[in-house]
Amino acid sequence: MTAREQRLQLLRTRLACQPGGDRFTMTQTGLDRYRIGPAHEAYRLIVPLLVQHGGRFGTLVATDERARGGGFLLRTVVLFDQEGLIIEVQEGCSATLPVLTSIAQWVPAAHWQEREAAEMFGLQLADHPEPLRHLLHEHTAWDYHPLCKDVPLEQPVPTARAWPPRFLDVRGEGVYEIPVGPIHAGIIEPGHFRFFGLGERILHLSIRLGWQHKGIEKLFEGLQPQAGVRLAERISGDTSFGHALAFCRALEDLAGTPAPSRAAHLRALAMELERLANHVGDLGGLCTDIGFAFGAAHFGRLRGEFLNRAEALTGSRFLRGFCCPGGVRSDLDGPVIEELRAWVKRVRDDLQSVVSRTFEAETVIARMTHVGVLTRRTARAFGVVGPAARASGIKIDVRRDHACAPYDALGVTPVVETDGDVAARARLRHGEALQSLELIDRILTTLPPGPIVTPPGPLPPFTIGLGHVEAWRGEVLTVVIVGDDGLLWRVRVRDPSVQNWIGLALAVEVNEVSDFPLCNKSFNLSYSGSDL
Amino acid sequence: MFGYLWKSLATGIVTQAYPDGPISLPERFRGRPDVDPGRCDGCGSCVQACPARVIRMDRHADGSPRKLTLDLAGCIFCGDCAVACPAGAIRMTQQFELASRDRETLVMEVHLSGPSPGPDAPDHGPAAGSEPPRWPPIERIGDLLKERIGEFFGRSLHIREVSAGSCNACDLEVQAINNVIFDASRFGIGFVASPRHADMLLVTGPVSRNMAGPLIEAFNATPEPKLVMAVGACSCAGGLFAGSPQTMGGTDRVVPVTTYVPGCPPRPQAILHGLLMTMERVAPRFSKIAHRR
Repeated sequence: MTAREQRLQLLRTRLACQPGGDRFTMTQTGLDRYRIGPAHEAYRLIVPLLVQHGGRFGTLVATDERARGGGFLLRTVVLFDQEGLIIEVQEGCSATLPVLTSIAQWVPAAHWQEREAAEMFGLQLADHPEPLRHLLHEHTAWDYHPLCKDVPLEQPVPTARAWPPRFLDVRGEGVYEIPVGPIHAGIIEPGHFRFFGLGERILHLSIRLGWQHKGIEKLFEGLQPQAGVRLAERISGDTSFGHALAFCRALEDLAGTPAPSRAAHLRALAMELERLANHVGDLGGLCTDIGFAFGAAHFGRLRGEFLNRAEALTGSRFLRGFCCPGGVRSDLDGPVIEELRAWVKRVRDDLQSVVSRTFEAETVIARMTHVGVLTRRTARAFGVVGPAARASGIKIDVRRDHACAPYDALGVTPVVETDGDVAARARLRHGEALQSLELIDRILTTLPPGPIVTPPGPLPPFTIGLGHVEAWRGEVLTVVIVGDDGLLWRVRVRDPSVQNWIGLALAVEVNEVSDFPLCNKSFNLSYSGSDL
Repeated sequence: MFGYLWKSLATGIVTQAYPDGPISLPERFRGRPDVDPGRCDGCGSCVQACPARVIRMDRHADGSPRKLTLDLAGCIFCGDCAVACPAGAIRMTQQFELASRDRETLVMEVHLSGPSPGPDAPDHGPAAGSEPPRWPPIERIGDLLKERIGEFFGRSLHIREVSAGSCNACDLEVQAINNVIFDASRFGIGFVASPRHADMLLVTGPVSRNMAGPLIEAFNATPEPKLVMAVGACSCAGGLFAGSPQTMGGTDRVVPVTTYVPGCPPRPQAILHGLLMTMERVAPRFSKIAHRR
């Protein structure tokens, strides 16, 4: 019996033991997909059960079904990484008194997404440890729930009297607060950090986001599926390709037509280029934050190499306009492939010589080691993904766990570090950069001939299409639901940052205030991606 | 120690000569779209295809095409219009130095109905989806100030960057002009931590509703003459987010803008060009385009 069958058998037994367990039958909806429900209380009872048995909270997709004769529907995607399983749990809420009973006390990973779903759809949030609004700030009227279908896109946002934001009340002799932001000192996005300190130590950090909120999920609704790619590319600029790919994969998943093999290879090539540019850029950022000018200059230069390659390949330094539903928009010629392979070798040597000189410097070792430790236990509880999770010893990587072409054939082994500190996250980025260079080389050697695009067929309405991609920052999960007119009806985007921000807040506790920029850079999370 | 020295000497100088020397652009780079009025048959496919909704087709009463306007301020340079055009009238050029002091300059006009635009052209307004800015461009406020920007800031400019709802691509490109390849500090351009130390606010993003307040506070804290540079399609005209009520639809709806730098995101050279143009160290390279058939 395979690991997947064993896990399914265990879950079936546990489900049957639930009170009223016959409600929670598991039906197979795809090769690795199962669905439970729609059933009353499925969210509160079943999701914690799945998480307890090795599942990872993925995303919570609420939809407004009132115009279709229902109430609100909560779809939760739970992922089993070791077994490559994806389970969707559905629960219906009544239209008259929609209540979302929080599971955040048992599944901490759910807590931001629950707040977001509640404010966007006007659900009553019950049992939540922190039942505040998340993305809509105080100046927005309390009864404004933009993702409800009866709120037209053009409707101006009703305003309310602005209350001062609430933060945790931290008191004691010598305890003080440092408010930082929303506008930061560096050239980065806005967010508000409230440090509670005692001497030089951080007792607690509250992170308040939502400043970048642009209503992206609402803007998706009513667009032609093809036009949605342009918007997906602009969810988070540094992950332009990752988000575009997750969106296109979701459409292809709906249509049941995967991209042709050559397109899948070219997409993987672009994905690895994006990873390289960002990982190397982050190594440079870490060097800047500790005043190590040699590393900052050289990693900055190397990042330019990757961006220029991306531009030569796609016409955009951020790989925009390359991905399209069903494939990619431009191809690689034979001579370019040979030149690219020579370039990979050259850049690898260059990178190695910079990294070895950086990581052997005492100042770098002293500033990064034992700083900003994220424990494996915390990372797992809050559903931290991507390099931040792997640096804390959690072996997850979509490219291996839920592999699709060409990664299934290439066989990616996740790079893992166990210390969970800034140094571990830095080493991890180096390891992954080398892995990406090797993958690019192998993609170029195994690039199959054939078409670069097969337009996806008709999209079935009101079923979920799941796009699941290991972007450079971690797993991007995009859920697409199409209406019966063939236009986008609901798009839920879960950037890795949504899960990882709490990881940062917990990692900086008991560290020095002055080490915060370094810790922040070692996670390098997207504000735009989590604010949408 | 010697290892660092050796590596840096072996690498050599990587700083680009821009703007004094030429730069090489890859073949696939997409700059300003250009319209050939002779080939355009006025079918309107580009209007449908444009995800940023910056192309507008004005028609005569009989439905024949009169004028095509393309607002470069909100253009995301995706090339979808060029792909959609059945007549092949639109092509993507490699022009990227589009910085302009005047919002109106960025609205490209293509007159399609014969040699003269005709008397029935009252709507010379901006293209679809954009309203006139609440403040006039700064040069119309006082010619005196216009003459003195170069005098005051020609040798040194301090910038406070405010990201107001951007997707972070523009922020990364602004960061990039500080790196060793573009090295903005050789022009006396530096980024400061407080708006009180800044000569210029550099704004990216369409100004989300939540950031409008902080942006106004930063603007009020900036000393006169409060130069503002809008970088990127979102900041210039709202970009893809112009239609969302959660954004203000462009920086000039909130604070007066001195210079517009279109692009999605504008490449680092384009941002550098916009800065140097505002400092009056280089001449503008873009002027209003009005093609006639």
